[in-house]
Amino acid sequence: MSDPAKYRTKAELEEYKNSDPIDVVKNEIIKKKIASNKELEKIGKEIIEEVKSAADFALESNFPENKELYTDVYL
Amino acid sequence: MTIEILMPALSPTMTEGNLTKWLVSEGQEVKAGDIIAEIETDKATMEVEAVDEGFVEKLLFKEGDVNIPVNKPIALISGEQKTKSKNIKDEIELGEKQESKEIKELNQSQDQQVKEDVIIDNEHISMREAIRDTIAEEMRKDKKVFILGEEVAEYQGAYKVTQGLLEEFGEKRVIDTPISEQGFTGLAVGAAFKGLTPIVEFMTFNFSMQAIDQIINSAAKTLYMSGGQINCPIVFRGPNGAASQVAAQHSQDFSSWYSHVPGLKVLAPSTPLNAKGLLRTAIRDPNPVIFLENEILYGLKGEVSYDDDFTIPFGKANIAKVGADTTIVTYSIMLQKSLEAAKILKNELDLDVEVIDLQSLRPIDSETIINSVKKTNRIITVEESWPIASIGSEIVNIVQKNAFDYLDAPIIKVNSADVPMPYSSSLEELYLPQIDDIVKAVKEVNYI
Repeated sequence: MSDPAKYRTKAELEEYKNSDPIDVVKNEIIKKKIASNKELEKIGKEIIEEVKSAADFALESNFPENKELYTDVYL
Repeated sequence: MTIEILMPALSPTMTEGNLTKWLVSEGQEVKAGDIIAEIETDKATMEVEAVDEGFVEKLLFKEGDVNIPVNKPIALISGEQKTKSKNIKDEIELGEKQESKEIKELNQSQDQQVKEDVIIDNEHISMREAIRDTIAEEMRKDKKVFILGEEVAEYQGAYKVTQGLLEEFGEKRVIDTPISEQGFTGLAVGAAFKGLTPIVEFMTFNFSMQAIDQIINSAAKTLYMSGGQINCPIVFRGPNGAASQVAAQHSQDFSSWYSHVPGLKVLAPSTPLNAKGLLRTAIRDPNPVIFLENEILYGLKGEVSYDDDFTIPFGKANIAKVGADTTIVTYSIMLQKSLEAAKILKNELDLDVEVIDLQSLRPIDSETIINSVKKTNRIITVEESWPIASIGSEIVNIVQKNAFDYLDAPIIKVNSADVPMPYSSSLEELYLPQIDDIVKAVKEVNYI
């Protein structure tokens, strides 16, 4: 989901996309040959998989026990 | 493999939404992140993105379909392209267009129905509308009043509270701010020092912590520190407390935090009626006022006063239900739960409970509380905040000091659990005060 941003023009959005810090870092990584575009795409897919499997795990798991309410407030 | 795209929830309190636009058609290839549809609720409009790549197998709803339940499949995405002869596809599309037109016509007639209902029942409006109307009424009367905050203008409010204000008052008085609470709150406090009356909307009071120095050190203390020379007529408003499953950082009750501070006044409405009366008092007051709304209550409908000079003063509680046996002191969303508990206690035990809605947390209406205890001899407090140093703690102090000899039982405070709000829905329920907890506390002070 994302905001359709009806209150700004597509041109303005595109302008800001050019300075999107994630893309800026990505381009810098490719430029400095730290990783290739292909490798970054692979990492991206792995992250999506990891998040999806975490979400699936949560949905398939039982609800936490009531005692968990008071767990980890302090060490 | 076919993946179902479900109707997403824009917030945990959303139960259904409308499909305003499809941005893909059947058979089209989509990549993860592609926008496939636009959906809307009374609160907001959002775009739905594909989470996986594939082909759009079927769109299960038409553009313009309304009240689609959350988590209902709206489209099917398959891994493989479906081969379909062009002619059949065209026929299907034609059929859909006709159907979609029928649905649109149906929706239009429903819209008219709704509008007529509104006219007939114009004494019942939602909390969201009551707050918006009061802001608009005060802005019409006083050119010094203006509103600023994130998404208050073009987007019409993150919770649609400022709907229509930009159109009526223009961008000089309805101001979209950057996502920088410390910055725009400081700007507003400065404007108030120089004689304007800003209304600062926090998207939620959780974000007011970013601006806490501006609120407490600048807004609350400057009158005192300037020897009475510089006052700060300002209202800080927005939703406070838990919504539904937005976890620890976004589910916090600030009533006790702000009520602690000399120089601030704190109000917490519970109905559209008192929201109007209290907000008008807040806007007209020459001091900084914290106005604690509640997200779950925004849709609550009720009677309002259409007198645009109707106010409810600071420090005046409302006896929401008169009773003789036990006093419940509460405010904001816990009023509704307390009234439910009172019904159960009447039906099951014939206990006649008095329910006091504080409305104003600072100043607090000690007199109404003390008079009630003198009548009932038993009192509990019910609030969403944490138990330590809460509003309930202050009420315990007021009662023990002023009505000690009238008490027939120790006072019980019903609060949220003394932990950060958990994310899990089952633990969230356990964390928040429930009707059963209130019933149990009333029984306890009656030794039942």
